[in-house]
Amino acid sequence: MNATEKFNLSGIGPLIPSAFLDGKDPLDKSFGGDVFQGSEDYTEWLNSKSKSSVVYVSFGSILVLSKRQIEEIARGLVDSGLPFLWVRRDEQNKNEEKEEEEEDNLIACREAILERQGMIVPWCCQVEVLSHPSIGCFVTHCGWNSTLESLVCEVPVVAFPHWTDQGTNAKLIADVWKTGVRVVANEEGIVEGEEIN
Amino acid sequence: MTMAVQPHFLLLTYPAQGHINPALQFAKGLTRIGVLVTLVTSLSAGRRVSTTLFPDGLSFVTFSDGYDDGFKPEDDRDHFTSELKRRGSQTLNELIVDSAKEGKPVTCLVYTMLLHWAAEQHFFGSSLQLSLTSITITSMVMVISSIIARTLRMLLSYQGSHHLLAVTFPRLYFLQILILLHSRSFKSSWSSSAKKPTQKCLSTLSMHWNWEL
Repeated sequence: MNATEKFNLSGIGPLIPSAFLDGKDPLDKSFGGDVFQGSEDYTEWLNSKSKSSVVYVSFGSILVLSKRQIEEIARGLVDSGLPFLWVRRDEQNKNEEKEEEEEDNLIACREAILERQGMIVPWCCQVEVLSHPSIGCFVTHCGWNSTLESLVCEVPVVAFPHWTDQGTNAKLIADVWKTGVRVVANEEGIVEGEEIN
Repeated sequence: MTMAVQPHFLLLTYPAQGHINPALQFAKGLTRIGVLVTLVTSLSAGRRVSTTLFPDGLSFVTFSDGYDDGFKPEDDRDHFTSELKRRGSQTLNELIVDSAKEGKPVTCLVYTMLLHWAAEQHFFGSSLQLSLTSITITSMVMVISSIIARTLRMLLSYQGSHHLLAVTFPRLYFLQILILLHSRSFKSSWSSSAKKPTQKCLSTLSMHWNWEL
C-alpha cells in the first residue's frame, strides 16, 4: 500500500462475511449480493466426497473462456480422476447456437458427470464452498475477492489469471505467499489439459 | 448549540459482482460501529441483492442506469459509462438533499473503483453548505496502475544511453520490471508516434485516479 506515494491509504478487510472469518457474527453467512441465480444441490454432493478431495473451478462473474480452453479444462479435470465442482454461468449458453456449442464442449466431461465424478453449477456461494472440508484446491481466475477468499478459507490455489490485477494476484499467490501454483499457457495462450491435470 | 449528528455514509458501488460483495460487507461493518449507511448501486445489480439479512442502519437505494438487464459484452461501454455517471450523479444529488431534509445529513461519501466522478459532484439545490468527506475504495488494481504509471514516467523522462532500464519499487520487493531499450531507435520512436499512445495512457490513468503524473 505504501507503494503509492501520493495517497494516504488505509487497509480495510478482508471483506468476507463474518461467519467465515472471525465468527463474531455467526448470522453473517453470505454477502447477500449474488448477481446470478445459484444452485442449491451442490452441498449434498460435496458432503458425499472425502476430505480435501474436490477440485473447485470458477472463473468469476465476467470472464468468458474460449471453446478450446473449456475443452482443455474439461479434459484436465476428467484425466485427473478427482471429483470436481465447476461453476459455469448460465449466460454463456443463452441462445440456441451457443447451446449447441456448449453441448460439444461438454462431451469431454459428460461421462464424468454421469458417473458423478464432477458437477457443474451455474453459480454458488463461493465462501460456503471454499470452507467446505471436502474442497482440496481452487482453480481460479485470481480476481481479488476469490484470492482473498482462498486465503481466508485456507484453500490452496491453481492460479489461472486472465486480465487486470489477476496476473499480479497470481504472482502473489505463487511466488510471494506460496499458497498455490500458477498454470503455464501454450503459445496460443491456451492452457492445455495436461497442465491443468 | 450544536447537536451531534449520527454519521451517515453514502456508499456508491459499481454494479458488478466483485464490487458489490466487498461493498456490502464494508457497509455491514460500518453499521456495527453505529454508522448509518445508504448503499447505492444501479438497478441491474440491485434487484438481485437480498436485503432480508441487512442489519438495522443499512438502507439500499437503486437507480436505473439504462442497462436494467445488466451490461452485456456487445453493449457500448462508453455509453454505459456516461449513463452510469449521469444518472448516478443525479441519484447522489437527490439522496444528499433528501437525507438532509430528513435530518439524517450525509457526512461521508464513499465510492468504489471506476466511479471517480462521485467526488466531482456539484451538489445542486443545496443552500445547505455541504462539507462532505469523500473516500475511494480501491484494490490491487490501483497498485497495478501505480506500477504502470511509474514505469511509463521513468521511460518518458529517461535521458541516459543504457540498453537496460530497471524499474524497481522500494516497497514491492518482489517486483522489478526490466525494459530493454533499443537505444538507436528509442529516442526517435518515443518522440514521435509511440509517444502519443503513451501520453494517452498516462492521461487516462491520471483521469482515472485523479493523479498528477
